[in-house]
Amino acid sequence: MAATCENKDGVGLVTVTGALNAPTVESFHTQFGAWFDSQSGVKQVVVDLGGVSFIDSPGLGVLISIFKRIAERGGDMRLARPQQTVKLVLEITCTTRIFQTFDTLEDAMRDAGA
Amino acid sequence: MKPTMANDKNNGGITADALMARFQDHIRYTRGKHLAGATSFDKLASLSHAIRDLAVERMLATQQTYYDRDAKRVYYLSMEFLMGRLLSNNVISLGLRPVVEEALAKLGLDFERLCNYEPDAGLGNGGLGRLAACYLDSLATLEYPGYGYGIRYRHGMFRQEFDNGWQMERPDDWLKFGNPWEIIRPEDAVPVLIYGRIENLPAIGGVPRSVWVDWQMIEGVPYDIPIIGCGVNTVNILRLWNARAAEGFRLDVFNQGDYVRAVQEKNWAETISKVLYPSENTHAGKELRLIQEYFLVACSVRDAVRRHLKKHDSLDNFAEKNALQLNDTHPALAVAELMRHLLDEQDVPWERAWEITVAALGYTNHTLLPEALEKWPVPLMEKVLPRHLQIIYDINSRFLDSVRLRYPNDDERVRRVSLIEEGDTKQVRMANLAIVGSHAINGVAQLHSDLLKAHLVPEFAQMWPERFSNKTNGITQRRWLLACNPGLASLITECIGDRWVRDLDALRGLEPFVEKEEFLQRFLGVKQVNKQRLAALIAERHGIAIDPKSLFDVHVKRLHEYKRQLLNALHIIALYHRIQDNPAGDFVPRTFLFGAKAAPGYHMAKRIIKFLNSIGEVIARDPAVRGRLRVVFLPDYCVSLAEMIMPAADLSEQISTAGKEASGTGNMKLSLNGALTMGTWDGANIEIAEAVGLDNIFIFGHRAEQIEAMAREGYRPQEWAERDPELRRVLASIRQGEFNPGAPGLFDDIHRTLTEWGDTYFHLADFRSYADAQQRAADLFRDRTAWARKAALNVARMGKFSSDRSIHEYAREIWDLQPVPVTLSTVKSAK
Repeated sequence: MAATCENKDGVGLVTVTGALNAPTVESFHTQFGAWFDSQSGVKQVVVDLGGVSFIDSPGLGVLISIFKRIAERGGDMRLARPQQTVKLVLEITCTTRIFQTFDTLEDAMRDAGA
Repeated sequence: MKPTMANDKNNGGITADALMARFQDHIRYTRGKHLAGATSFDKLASLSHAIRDLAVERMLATQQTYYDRDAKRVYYLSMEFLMGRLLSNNVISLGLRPVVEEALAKLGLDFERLCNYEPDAGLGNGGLGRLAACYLDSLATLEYPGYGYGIRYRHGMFRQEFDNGWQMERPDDWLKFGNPWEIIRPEDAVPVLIYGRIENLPAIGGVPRSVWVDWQMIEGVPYDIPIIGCGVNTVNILRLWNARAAEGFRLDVFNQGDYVRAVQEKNWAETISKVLYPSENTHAGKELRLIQEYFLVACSVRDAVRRHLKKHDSLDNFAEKNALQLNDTHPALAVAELMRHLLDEQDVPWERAWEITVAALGYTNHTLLPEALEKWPVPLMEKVLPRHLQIIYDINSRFLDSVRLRYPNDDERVRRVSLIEEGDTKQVRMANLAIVGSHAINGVAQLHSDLLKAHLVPEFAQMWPERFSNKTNGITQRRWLLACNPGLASLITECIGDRWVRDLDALRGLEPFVEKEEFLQRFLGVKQVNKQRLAALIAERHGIAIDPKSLFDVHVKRLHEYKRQLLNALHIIALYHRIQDNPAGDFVPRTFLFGAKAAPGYHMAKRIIKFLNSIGEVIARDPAVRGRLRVVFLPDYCVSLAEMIMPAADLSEQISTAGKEASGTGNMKLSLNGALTMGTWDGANIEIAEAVGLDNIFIFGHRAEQIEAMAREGYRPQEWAERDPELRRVLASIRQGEFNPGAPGLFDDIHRTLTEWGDTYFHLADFRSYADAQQRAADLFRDRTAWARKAALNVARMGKFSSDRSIHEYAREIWDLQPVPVTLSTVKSAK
């Protein structure tokens, strides 16, 4: 798993690739937390899942966890481009009811106000 | 003799040389061998592959046709598919038998010998699983768009061996050498989530939101087996799901040196499709069984939805295009799963989701025994399927509100129909869930359907009388006559043509022949050959010689007390005593043949097996009865063994306690193969009696309402014994250890269950009537022509009991399904 976090016109763009699973969630959580703390003006975050090939329960858990941090700041989180199996998991768990999910990154960013 | 039929000419025009070439190609390129070095399994696999190749063309065309025509499909969900062997039936269905025999003969190989190497696909326990297999055959042959959904158990029903007469269970390793019929579809693997909890998150815009967290994910990988329609181009699919870990192998853990944990998840996931019927004696076993049931349902519903969405934009018309039939309550979680799909994944409002679910689902009940109705403890359901339990509670709440509205102040009714059974541990009633969630509920024989409505779930029948119907079970004549009894099949075809292969009612045409002595002699001749064939098999496998001229009295079915193998035993003992008392007497020589497996945890059933084996041993050792009486319990009763036994049977034991057997299908198979039924007024025996005529069947014993009255008024089995000296002596011989010399007390429990413990299944009440009926059967057996006439009339009047009739009824009255013929041009274009 590799992740990058960047500020795109005031919207946080988090790009994740590889497997978002138990062995990788801790480093991702730490990395995002440090970045998010440094970006006090960012309230809207888009997580680009286009490169995520696999997600397990801890992987979903970390998404919910960072969502809670964003919500505490009064913001919202969107997901973009989940692959088919990841999308299925998001649907089964009702996660798509919590996060708006977009088929393209552009749509997600636009919706977030970028 | 070889069965002949019209579709031998409709086999796609493949020649023996072309088939031989395909066979040799598979020996070389699939098995990687020269013919000279090929094992029997290599040859079997190569021939199966060659036949499968021919079926695949039609399978593709069939699926394309269904898609192009947007056909309504039925999905038959069953935890069991007792398929048996496939090669012989598939060859017959494709009309290739003469071609295959010619091709193999050119290579010096024998088709039947090769068929015998094929392991049984024993993915089932008894009638329910075999019924599912027969229904798949009929769906394809009648050109209905039908799919079977089941589990690809690594180990099917256990292999039964006897150790000193006791049943021992050994693992059935049917996939040891692979399965040439299956096509793996990893690209269609589906995720299945279990365990975890529902976490409520902060509301957004006033809307409460929750998410399923801490779950575990497994994957269902489909394995497709072609189901070949007989004499048509239709090839449907049986899709069996294999469980595997979603993320198979933890390389990170492995690299830390923890090799066990690295594969732990993988091993755990694979356990789900490892064994048919994990023991429910342990908590872990129960949990695994629940997970298996959900695994089947989750994979199948997702697959059906996926197929629907390939053609349609939403699930709004799902029920118009799809019917899901639940074979017993095992797949009843489909109610909650389809609701979850519609609510959570498709955002369909509750009321509409419920309409779609109920309209799509149908439920077949298979048991009248209240104790056999499936229930799951609420805590277990909450642990394994937290979201589904929420949905079940929601369904129940809305349903009970409607019941209270309709029946005010009737708390007792509300309690009985609730999906949740109250008590120390609350339980989810799966039958209630299936009934509430289905638009059609059916029993499997007329009496069973009547009793279902009157006694088992009367409140539901009062509430929704229009939902309840009967669909009497049936059997496929392609396997249970054409393939397994080639001699009789040929004789019939010679007399009336082969229309019966696809229209069993055509057997009526045999009736005029039963008046002809020559026909009856040939009929008896076929039976004799079949008996010799079975005797040879028993001699070869078990070293036991039985007399093919004796009356073959056959009792083959699951071992359960209500099926009353014990009543048969009591009669055998009585007969044994009669011969001992009158060594010079003129007795009809009899061979009693048993085949039955007992559930591993069912101790009384296992003791009854031991009892029957012990009776057999004592009788075999007694020179006084030699040549007159023999009892043989054949181990490992399975489909392929049944295919040898059915054609050889003279007398068919269908002697369940009246009101207990749902239908039975062994009774139909035996009668179709020319055995006379010795039966109680129970299950489908009643309809068989009505079809063949009371003169052509031996009916005995108390009827269901009499049994019920005796139970109500206080049944005292000892009184029946006191009135009947012969029965008294039989019971005394058990108590005194006549059949367990050297092991005192071994069968005390059997004696007690019949006497002191209330004789739950009314053996003693029915004994005299049974023994008298057996005497009538023996007397008739002496008159070979009279016997043959009745047996042939049984064959001629079995048309109703084809699974084709059953499937037509389901299609017309429950599924609203139309046949969708596949044309040859579609087959060619698919190539």
